[in-house]
Amino acid sequence: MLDPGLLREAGALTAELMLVNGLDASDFGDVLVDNLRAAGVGACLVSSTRNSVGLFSSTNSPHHQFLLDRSDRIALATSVADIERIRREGRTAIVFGLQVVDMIDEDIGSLVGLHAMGLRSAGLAYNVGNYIGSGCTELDQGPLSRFGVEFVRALQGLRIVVDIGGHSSEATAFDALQHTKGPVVCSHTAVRALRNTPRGMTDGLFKAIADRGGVVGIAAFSFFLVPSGRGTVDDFVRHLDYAVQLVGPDHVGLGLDFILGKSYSGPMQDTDAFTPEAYPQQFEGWIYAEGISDFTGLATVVAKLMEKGYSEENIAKVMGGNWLRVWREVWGA
Amino acid sequence: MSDSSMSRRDFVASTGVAAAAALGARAGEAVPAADPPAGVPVIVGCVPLAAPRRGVATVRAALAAARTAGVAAVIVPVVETEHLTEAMRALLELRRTMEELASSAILAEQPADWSAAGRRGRVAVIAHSHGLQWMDRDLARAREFRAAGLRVAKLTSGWRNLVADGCYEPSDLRLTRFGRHAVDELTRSGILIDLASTGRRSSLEVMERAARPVVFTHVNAAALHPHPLNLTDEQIVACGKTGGVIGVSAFPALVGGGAPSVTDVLRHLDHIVRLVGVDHVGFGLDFDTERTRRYPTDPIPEPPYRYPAGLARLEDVAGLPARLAERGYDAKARAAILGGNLERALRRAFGEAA
Repeated sequence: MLDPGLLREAGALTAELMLVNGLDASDFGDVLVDNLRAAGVGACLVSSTRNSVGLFSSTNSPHHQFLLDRSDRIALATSVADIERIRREGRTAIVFGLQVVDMIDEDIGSLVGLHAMGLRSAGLAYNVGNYIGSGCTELDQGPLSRFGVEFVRALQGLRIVVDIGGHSSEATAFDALQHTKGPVVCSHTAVRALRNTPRGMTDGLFKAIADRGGVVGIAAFSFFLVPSGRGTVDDFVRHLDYAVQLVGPDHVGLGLDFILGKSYSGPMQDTDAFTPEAYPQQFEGWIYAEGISDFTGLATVVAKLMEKGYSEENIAKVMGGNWLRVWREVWGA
Repeated sequence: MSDSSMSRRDFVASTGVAAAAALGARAGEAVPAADPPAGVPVIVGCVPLAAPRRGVATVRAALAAARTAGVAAVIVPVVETEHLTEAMRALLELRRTMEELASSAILAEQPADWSAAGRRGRVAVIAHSHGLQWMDRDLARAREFRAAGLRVAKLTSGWRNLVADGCYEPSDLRLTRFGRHAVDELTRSGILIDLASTGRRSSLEVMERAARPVVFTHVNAAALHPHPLNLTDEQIVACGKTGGVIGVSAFPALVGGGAPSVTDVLRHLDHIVRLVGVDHVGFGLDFDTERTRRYPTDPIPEPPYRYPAGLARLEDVAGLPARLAERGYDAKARAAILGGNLERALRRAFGEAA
């Protein structure tokens, strides 16, 4: 049990922090926004479903319409200056990202339009292989394709963050490092050394991303954290802290990957994209670690880090500062 | 490992006997005027000049040349690397073009079509696609594209897609999870799988899984001329084991040797016959005047292409029986090579669709 005094102190610190979630898969709607506001989150990267339906389907997408409807509470950010301004205005900044960009098929020029619509972060492959690379649960895993090389270069040309790990295979991620410069990220993963799942990242990839000045977001999915799928906030912090001990406090962040407002129950139907060994959600719904099942759990995370002796400066980095540093460097503003 | 290599050795040994028998035929044997005999169609495995996107005049000329040479059916790359909308548009354009050329051509939707077409002096066009880009991740499209006329499909255009790795990709990965389903669905739908330009390991995996014959419509032997498109002996043997066919190409970059001769082309054929016998080889001559390269580094040269003198145009197909006879292929072997083998593979693939 946490000391009540520590919890109060953590709550006060959390309220001051710029909290940034490097990836969220929640339905882009009121459940998410209410929760972000309640927890005082400064910025959240939202990523729609894997086929990106809704987010960039047209210039009149439901997501852009929702931004308009809730402009008193949230606003789209395409720069870190935007994020800081939006926070000063008492709103929460929304960043648009895609976990995979299969929607463009092999049309590299579409990235220009997606960037113009607000896209600021893009993944390579989502569990299975595509035109770009191989996914983390694909049968045969390898480097980027020729088109994949073109793709990561185009992302960097447009100053879109290259999100290399987690859903992509390690072989694809390491190859992407070869074909990119400067910071790249893995938006949402866990530590494979602590929980052996294809969705988790090896120590080697953590180090390689850190060596490039990037950041890795830790997800709060229970079955990425513990084999039983019944994890707690302590398990989440254990993964976070392992990563910090491994690569230092400048290269770890939040990649919570909540799915607020969505309802899943039982095994996934598409067993190619969600293999039972990587997604063993045979329990009711997709369960998050107890104590960090939505954004209001972040104060507990801060308390746990304080308990571990993290300085306020390092807590600020892990809870948001690292994402802002990398985004500013990649986006150029 | 030992089991499969044993069976492969046995297979090579048995086909080697057949090949020796075929090659043992008396060289210079007189070639009958009707060669191959009536009832065995001449089928050419890759005829890009008959693709509707080349324009009706070009298509008309290509089909007239084919008819002149006694060709019954041609496999035409109608769909290139397009995704759904443009691929379906290309098939619809083919149907319109075939209506326009109804007096000289017919769209082949079943094996009987080329027999009927031949009786009326027409050429049957078998629609082919350069890769499964049009499928995206929707298996149901296999049946839908078949309904629109597609009968033969490559898995990749040489570059990686959702299904398999391409022969130009150094990664040489095996099939994706989706690729396994796609291969099975093509087979169920009655679309003949063409593994030309698919990566080596992906192609071998398909051939391990193949429930029906597969083809390589327009490639040669890497043992004679190394090129990403050309087949290793392992691939050739695997293709033979499916009951499939390799269509030998006259495209200079695949034959090798700068300005290749007809003999150079036929050496590739001989090599394949030595490995798998006369029942697994045909012609996919691939006469073309243009070629789209995706990347400047593609191992495909710019046109113009210097095809071998005597095997540079569809009209030259008429001379192939004599050239095959010169190299010792008897009448039965000639019939198999000129069309019998491809017909067998086509019948097995799309004559028996569920």
